[in-house]
Amino acid sequence: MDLQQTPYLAALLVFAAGLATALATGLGALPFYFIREPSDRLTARMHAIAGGLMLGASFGLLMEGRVHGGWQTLVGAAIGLIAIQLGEHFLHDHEINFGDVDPASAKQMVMILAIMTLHSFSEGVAVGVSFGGGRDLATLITVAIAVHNIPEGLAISAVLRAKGTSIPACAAWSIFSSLPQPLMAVPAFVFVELFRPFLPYGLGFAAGAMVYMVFLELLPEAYALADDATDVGLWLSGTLGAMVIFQLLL
Amino acid sequence: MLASSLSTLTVLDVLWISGLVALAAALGPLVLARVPSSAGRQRWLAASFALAAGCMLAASHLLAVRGLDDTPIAILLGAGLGLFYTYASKRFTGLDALEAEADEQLAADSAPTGGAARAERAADGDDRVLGYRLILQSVLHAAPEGVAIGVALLLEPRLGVLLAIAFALHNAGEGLGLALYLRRWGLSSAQSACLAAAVNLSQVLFAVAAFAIASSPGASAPAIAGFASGALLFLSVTELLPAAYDTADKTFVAVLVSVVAGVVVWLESVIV
Repeated sequence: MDLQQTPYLAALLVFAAGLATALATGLGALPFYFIREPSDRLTARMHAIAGGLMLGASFGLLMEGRVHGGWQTLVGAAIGLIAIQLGEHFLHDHEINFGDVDPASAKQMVMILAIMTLHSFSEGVAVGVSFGGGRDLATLITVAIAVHNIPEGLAISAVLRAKGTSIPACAAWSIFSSLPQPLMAVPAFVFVELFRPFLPYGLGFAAGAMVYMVFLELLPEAYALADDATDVGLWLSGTLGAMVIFQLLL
Repeated sequence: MLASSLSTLTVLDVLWISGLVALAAALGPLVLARVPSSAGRQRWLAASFALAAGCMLAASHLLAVRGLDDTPIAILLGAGLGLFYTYASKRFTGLDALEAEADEQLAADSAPTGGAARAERAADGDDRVLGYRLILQSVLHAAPEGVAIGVALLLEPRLGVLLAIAFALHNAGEGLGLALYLRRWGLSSAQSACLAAAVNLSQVLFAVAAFAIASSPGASAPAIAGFASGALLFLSVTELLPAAYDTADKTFVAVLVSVVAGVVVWLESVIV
């Protein structure tokens, strides 16, 4: 199917891809049917796996972006990095309430939900703009983001479950955190189609935001929870390597 | 594609390029000599870890991508070997134990009474653990770094030069970290600069050896590139990044690593 010839169908396909990545986040709550409480070691590994997948996907975006324009990709990546930093800064400066939960726990719950939701915007943009970069890239990024959403859902569920949230509610909140993905994917796709010269900016933006998220949130958390950095390194290296091979196969 | 991109550089070219990279380590102590405050030096140390991690991550990625189209199995096997080399070199040299001890000392230094604890340790000579750790790390890092430069110069000279520049920056950062502890031993900036360059000289040997071996008939240049890629990735995520996060706040580290890695990967597309 030529996405250029059928814009409405293409937009629907992009929305479906974004929705699929969002629904995948809910799968992260499933292990709690089998694990009463995830150990720090398991959570650290999940963060490392998510980090490896995101780094692999980001480098793919960066490599694709530079084909369309090196400088523009770099500028887009810088904007992505700044956007995540501004979002984090905003969240840290505001008092938050969350139901009947005590303020400290509420802040922790809302922070992780907000951060995950915030960075989902960039992932939605990544899905959308990747459709502008070709079918292979779109498949790669959609699958990559859907897969890496699962450990993110696990991370969110681990925090919420510890505060007494039910497992279905954990799944629902996890999916909620990824709803910006279908919502942002379509405008990002349309934006790319209308303004193709801006494609490298979009690819760079998503890559910058994802790389920064890995180094700002996922890896520090993984190192803090793990017994030793070697375990984190093994899981991250393995998934990053698998992601590179995955890109090659596509 | 791979065969057609083999370079016409000679071993002598590799010798002087990798020699310059090793000598760049001397810049770290010279920069440190101009930073008067303890807090400032700590920030420079964190920056050096983050800079080195960003360079290594980018180099690892670029080396893996270079040969993947043609020889994925060779790259994968090489990368696995590189991971094993790094893992084994830490375990069998006792570096992991030194790192754990050094981490405890760094944590004690950052505590409110860190100055007193450090003075007591320095009197006992225990402070040298930190210095030994950095020297041992530099020597062990030199192998994959040298191999990376040598094989990259063979596969694509411009990629090799880019990686050489990245590793020169990385060496300067490592030299700075080393000088921070050599300073406590009473070494002058000039002495620290010489020692920093000396511990990196084995990079030259590894670069020349990798170049010569990879260009020999029957040798697999992609497998050697894979070795360097796997080792560099593992070094950055098991040593440099944790050390950076232990030394500075995560935002500072994240910005530096993201920017350095991103710029090096992007530069490859511009100059290669």
